[in-house]
Amino acid sequence: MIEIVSQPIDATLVLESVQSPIAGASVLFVGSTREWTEDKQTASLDYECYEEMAILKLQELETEARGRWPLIGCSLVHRVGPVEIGEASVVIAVSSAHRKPAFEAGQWLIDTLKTEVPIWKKEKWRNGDSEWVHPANPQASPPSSSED
Amino acid sequence: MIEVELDLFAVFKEEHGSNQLQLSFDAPPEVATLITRLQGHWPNLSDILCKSRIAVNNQFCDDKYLIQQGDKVALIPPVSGG
Repeated sequence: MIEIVSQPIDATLVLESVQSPIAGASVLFVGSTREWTEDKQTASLDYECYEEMAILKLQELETEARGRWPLIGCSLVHRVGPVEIGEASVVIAVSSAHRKPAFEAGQWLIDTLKTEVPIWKKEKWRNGDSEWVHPANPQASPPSSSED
Repeated sequence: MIEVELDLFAVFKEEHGSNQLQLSFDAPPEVATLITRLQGHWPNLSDILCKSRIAVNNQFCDDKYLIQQGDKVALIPPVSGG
């Protein structure tokens, strides 16, 4: 399951999409909008994407992950448009016969998605300000108000 | 003469007020030439431009790639999905 959606993501459906009798381990990652970034309060996030390229990149991530780990299921769903506090912006589920590949692939998929897939978020702060998040250097920039 | 229709997203789309920027070149430009032109167009966004990538036909391209008439060209600022 590779999707870009404008409605809330049902994480249970994404998890179910990778479950299988031959999968002994399923890992579900849910990235959601966080209210506080240090002392700044977020009202909501607004996501935009370059859809045709984003879908292609998500498919490439799945292909590369399947090449690196013995996965059974692999699903990536990203939401676009306004995402309120506590709602999921991204849901990733992977399954494999044993837990180690599933954990490793899940970590790699979210890390790589965050640098390679053409999706952008705009922070809407509670004080009325807003700004596009364009991390110049992911290691150096302050964290934005999504999952990490 | 070659016309490039550059697809814009996020901060560049907002700055331009539209999702496409038309640019003319005397000859097919390398990606580096395109970026230099954009630096002149948006000096205020120079920092983000330095970190942005050009995608041609949905794939990231390096500075030496020669853009051809009909290529689908997009300016990809640093991404922030997730």
